Amino acid sequence: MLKAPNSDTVLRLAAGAGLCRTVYGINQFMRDAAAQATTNSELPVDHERLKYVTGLLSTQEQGLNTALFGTFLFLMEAPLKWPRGWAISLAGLAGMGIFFAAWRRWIPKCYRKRFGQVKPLELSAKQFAVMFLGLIAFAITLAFFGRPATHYFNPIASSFLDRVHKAISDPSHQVNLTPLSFWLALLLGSLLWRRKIRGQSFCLLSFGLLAVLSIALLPMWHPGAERLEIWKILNAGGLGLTFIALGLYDHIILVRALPKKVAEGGDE
Amino acid sequence: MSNETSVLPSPNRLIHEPARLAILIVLSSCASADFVFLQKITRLSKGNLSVQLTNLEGAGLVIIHREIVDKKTRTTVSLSKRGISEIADYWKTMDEIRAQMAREKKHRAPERNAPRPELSPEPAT
Repeated sequence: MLKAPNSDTVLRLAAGAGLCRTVYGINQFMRDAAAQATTNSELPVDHERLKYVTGLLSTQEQGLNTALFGTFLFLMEAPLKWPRGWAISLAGLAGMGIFFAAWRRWIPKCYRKRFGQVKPLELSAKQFAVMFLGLIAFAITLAFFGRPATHYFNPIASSFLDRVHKAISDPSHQVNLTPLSFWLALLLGSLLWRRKIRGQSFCLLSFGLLAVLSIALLPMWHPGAERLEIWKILNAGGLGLTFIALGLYDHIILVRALPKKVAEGGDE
Repeated sequence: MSNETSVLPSPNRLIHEPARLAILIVLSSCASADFVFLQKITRLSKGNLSVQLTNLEGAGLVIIHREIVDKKTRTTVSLSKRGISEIADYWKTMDEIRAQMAREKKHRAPERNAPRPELSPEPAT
């Protein structure tokens, strides 16, 4: 026998129909508005993309500057054999000048011209207050518990720092663990905080971690690898190469997200 | 069932339009942005972006600042205080709609899965 629907079901159905109509109305409005507003075929209102690219451009360190810093670090750290002489010293000085000019002038100018300018968000009064209170709380904690904590942690910290110092003090002959820890921290950070669009960088971070891991572990499989010049260069200049890769990646993202030419339509 | 499901909050239509929404999202994640950046990130034409910015300025949501740098006009746009609160309200409204839709879906799921009502057998003639 066909049961008569109870009043609750009828209400729900009526509310559902109302909801459907409203949602349909919103979709229809979006479609009409998009058709009126866009000049080109697509206008992706992808919040993550918009926020990410804006954040990327508003950071103080532009991608190319990071890559430049990486190059500087690589040239300083890697055991490259430079010929000696006054001409080389002069070229080195000129190179430093070029680095400085590129860092302070050329790259920011190129970014302004190519991508435009974005000012980063300033710290709000609330955030500032929280930070200030946090610092005060930290200072008070340190004043009360600093001495016992130092007494307890000093032997542990000194042995750890000793190990780190050994690992990084002579990078051309020992395995350099700095790039490995750097990539690992970046990967963990991306897993914890980054979302949708930043998922792309997960591939880069995994690849980078794998690369530095294989450089670090190569002497375990091939004991003779430590004597190879290329291994010494890659091992010592790992951090510089890391900065170069990350800087170039950020730059490529900006280039892809912000096209050089935007289609002009006669829609004014 | 309460009547609240039948009354949906409506989003601000000035903000809801995709081009303007994109502009406001960009501006809400920085202190200010110039015209070149806004044009590139929203992929709008100069004229269209200009019209949208004028609309937003007219509604008091953004502040447009023009200055001359190297004999060229540089237009910088930032969110006004009203713009900040309006976009926050917009997201709140959208969240409410989303939550309401989720509630509605949850309510309707058991009905959809419920067995169909049986028809009584035809009386024998």
